Amino acid sequence: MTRLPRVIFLFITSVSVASFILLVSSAVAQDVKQPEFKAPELKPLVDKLPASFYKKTPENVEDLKSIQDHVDKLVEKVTPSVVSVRIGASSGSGVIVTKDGFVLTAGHVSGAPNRDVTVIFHTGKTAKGKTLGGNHGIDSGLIKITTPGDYPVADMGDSSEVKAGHWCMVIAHPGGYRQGRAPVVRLGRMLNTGATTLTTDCALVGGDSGGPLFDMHGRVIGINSRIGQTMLANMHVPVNPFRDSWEKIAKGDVFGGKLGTPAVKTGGPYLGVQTTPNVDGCVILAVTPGSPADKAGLKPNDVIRKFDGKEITAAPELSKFVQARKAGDQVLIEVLRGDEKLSIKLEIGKR
Amino acid sequence: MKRLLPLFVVLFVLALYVEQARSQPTRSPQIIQLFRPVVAKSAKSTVRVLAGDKEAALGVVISKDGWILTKYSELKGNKLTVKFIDGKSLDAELFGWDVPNDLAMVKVDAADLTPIEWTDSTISKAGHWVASTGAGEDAVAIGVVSVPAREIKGAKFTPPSGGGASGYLGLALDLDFAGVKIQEVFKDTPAQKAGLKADDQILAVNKEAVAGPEEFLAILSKNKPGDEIKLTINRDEKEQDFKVTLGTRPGNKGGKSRADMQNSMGSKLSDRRAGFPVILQHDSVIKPSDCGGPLVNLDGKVLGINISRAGRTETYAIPSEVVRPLLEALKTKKEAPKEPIKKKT
Repeated sequence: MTRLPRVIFLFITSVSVASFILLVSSAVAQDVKQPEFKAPELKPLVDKLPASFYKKTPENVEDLKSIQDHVDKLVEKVTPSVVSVRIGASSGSGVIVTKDGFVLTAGHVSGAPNRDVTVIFHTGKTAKGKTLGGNHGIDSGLIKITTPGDYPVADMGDSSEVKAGHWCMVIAHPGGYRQGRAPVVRLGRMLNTGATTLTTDCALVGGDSGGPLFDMHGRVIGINSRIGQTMLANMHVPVNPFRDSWEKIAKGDVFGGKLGTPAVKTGGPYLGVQTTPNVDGCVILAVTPGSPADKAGLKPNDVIRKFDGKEITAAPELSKFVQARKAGDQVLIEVLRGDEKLSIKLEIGKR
Repeated sequence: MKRLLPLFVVLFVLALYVEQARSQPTRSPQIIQLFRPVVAKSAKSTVRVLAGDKEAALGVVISKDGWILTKYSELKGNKLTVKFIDGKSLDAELFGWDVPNDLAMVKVDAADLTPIEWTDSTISKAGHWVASTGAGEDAVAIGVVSVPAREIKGAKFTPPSGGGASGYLGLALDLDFAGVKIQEVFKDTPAQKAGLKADDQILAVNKEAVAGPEEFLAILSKNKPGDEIKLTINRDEKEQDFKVTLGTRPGNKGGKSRADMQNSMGSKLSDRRAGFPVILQHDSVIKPSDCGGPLVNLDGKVLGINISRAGRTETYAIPSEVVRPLLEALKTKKEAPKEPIKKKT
């Protein structure tokens, strides 16, 4: 049986009937040595955010107004660093982080090294580029703009500072570059922070891949990577693990396993859900088709409250409970579907 | 190091406990409630439109004496009823409609309705809050402006003939060229099989002249996989005709492209999602049946009318500055005369 991917990568192949691609004509292979990557430094955080951002949730229209005034300035500041990238018939997004034109993107966007890239700026102007390497284990990749220039950059953030509940913003090119359309803004909040994945409610779709997730200081904290079946399942590569290997990526190395395969061992106990914690338990963001969870009838938006009688209060707990079982074990899962409480029998599978 | 691991895990789980209370999605009921004062004024001018017994759309009261603007394509020739915020219900009659903007005017027998007040959508910039007013206390959705009002060049709506994917050619165009010029022909595509080459200039599709990429795409999108089209090409200053049998976009499964599949993940989309001449794009997740209602900014000013839940990341509104000039013509029982879209200055 073919198993559908548990998450969907956001790279678009052949966007429209005639993808608007500006191909690098006369792709003269330049005999220049690999451009030197000077990793951008983290800027110390000095500016405090308006008080509304430190509240658990905005409390009134004034708070919303203060968020809006701040976001207004951020959009203007960071938009020039956002680019659309075209590689062959495919289309993704990226963000410029060095003045000489290193562009962060997703590993599944840059793909193989040394491919021709057309970089399209927010103004519609274009430049030529080449793909460098990628870490497919976490889905990070780099592109270098080869047309000489002094490019607008975004500051780098520290994803270890990012907490659930923080406000964040995606600016990228869903559906690929569209003539006359500015990069598309989405505002949301951090829902879940993992070592290799940030989950937000900034809605993503194909073409957004590789585009930046900004914090409210306008710093890049993540790179758009993939989505699940609900509006709350938008996944980004955190920049810290990205930074750990970006010098290697800049040299054109491709590593980190096969594209799109989760970095987990096969054979272990397996449920087949992606979740994020909420106040009631653990919300299912995505159910892998054909998985034990799917067969048992679990659905996106179900809230898992109990696993074999044990209360679930955080997502890692669910994972811990599952890992403590073996394939073939029968368990009883209590879920909340809307207002309805359901008890669902499920057989643990093998990954 | 290994010994430290369990402690690390415990700390991690604890950290999640602490942060959990804060992981409130942007569109949670608590935040939507904050927008009550924002939508309060426009809600008095917002109605629920029923087609048959189905909640088809929302509508906007534009005059005291019962003219109501709504979304056209959801009405589908059914008997129309309009429900007001106070629970009152009135029969409505369809008058004029405008296919490009998908707007329709209906009339109810009333004398003391509260008309909406419009504001130019240009006052709200990308990243600004918007709320979609419903016929009730709460907004039906909230979000931010993703892209301010923009003209969609070459937007032409043709009713879908049976649905399905549009035909695939397999080439890329030169955006800097004042006309339609091929920049690249992809391998193993209908374009390549037909003998098209980079630098070919496309002059016409089926003898219909094309001036730019948007127009070319609009004509092409009306064709289906398997359709044969004739392209008139200027190659090395010589005009030649090429016959191309359109194919299916690579990666399409059962007529649904990967992009279609991704866009339909997580929310239900409107049937009509394209062909609007001018749109304001926002990231609110509205139900298709909640189109036709006002979109307001944080000051409660009406920026336009929601017209389509168009994709996973996008909802479209027809901006006020486009809606207002249409209103008078829509009060007659026919399709509104088509006027050329005003160019932005």
